Amino acid sequence: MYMSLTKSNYISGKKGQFFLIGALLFSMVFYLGISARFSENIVVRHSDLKYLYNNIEKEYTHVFNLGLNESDELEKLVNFTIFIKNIARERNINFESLVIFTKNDTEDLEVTLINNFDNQINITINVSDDVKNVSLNSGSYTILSFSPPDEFVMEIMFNNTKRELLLEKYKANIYFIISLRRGDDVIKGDFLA
Amino acid sequence: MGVHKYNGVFMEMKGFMHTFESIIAVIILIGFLIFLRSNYVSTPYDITYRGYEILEDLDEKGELRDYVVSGDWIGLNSKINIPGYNHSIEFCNQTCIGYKPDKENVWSSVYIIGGKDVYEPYQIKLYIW
Repeated sequence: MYMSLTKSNYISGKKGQFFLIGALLFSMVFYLGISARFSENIVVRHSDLKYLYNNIEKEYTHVFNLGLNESDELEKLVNFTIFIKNIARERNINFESLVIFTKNDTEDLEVTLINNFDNQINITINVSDDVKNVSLNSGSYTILSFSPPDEFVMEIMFNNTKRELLLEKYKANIYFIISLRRGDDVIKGDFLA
Repeated sequence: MGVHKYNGVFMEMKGFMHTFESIIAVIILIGFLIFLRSNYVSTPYDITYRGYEILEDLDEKGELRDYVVSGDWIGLNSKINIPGYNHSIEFCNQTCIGYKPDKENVWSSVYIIGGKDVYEPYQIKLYIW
């Protein structure tokens, strides 16, 4: 009995060590399991793409305004798009864009679409329930004509992207989608002015 | 007697056991904290970003385009100051004017403009070494 009590005391006295060893074993299993699951490091890259993106966003609008001044916005935008594309290519960046601008020289509204994506796109333009579908090859443009009220909603749908823009008929508007890609680095966005 | 001796041995080792337990506890705690540390690896800041920021800042101040449309790359170059580095400027459209350094390990930042009052696209290259 004396020996049993001592053995019992021995075990209860060693409780802390048992808990500690158990905790150590559990932690090892836990870390190994979690490490295997989340072994990939997340790399935060500082990238120059964002600077170029901001630069292009600002300049597309500026070139559009310069083109409006000379009533030559389509040629200026097409030329500028090619200019940017060549610069981007020198820096191993793939630049793609879709430019849509509206203006009215008559009572009708002209909507011009310029496709600078690498592939053909199928795009639907809905201006005040007047729906037009176009298939636009890479590097090409098209001009659509609509008769909306003074203030209207233009709905743009392509490549699972849908945008609704509230626009004014008697104001020139430009909307563009830009994509810059270098390897795994990608920046995409759109802008309305 | 055996019991007393048995107990005596372990009594002598009691301090050692406490120390050992503390070490194990610290290892577990540190391991947990290391695990909690984000697995983020950040690439270092590149001096070319500084170049972009300089050109962008000059454009926002309304100073950049005047130099470009007048072809004054020397004036723009003297306007820029990057402590600890040399730098030079080039304006490029169909051709380039300015100074492109013939050295190794040169960073280059590019800023694009569509023109000032008329459409006249340029890329402004800031070389830093």
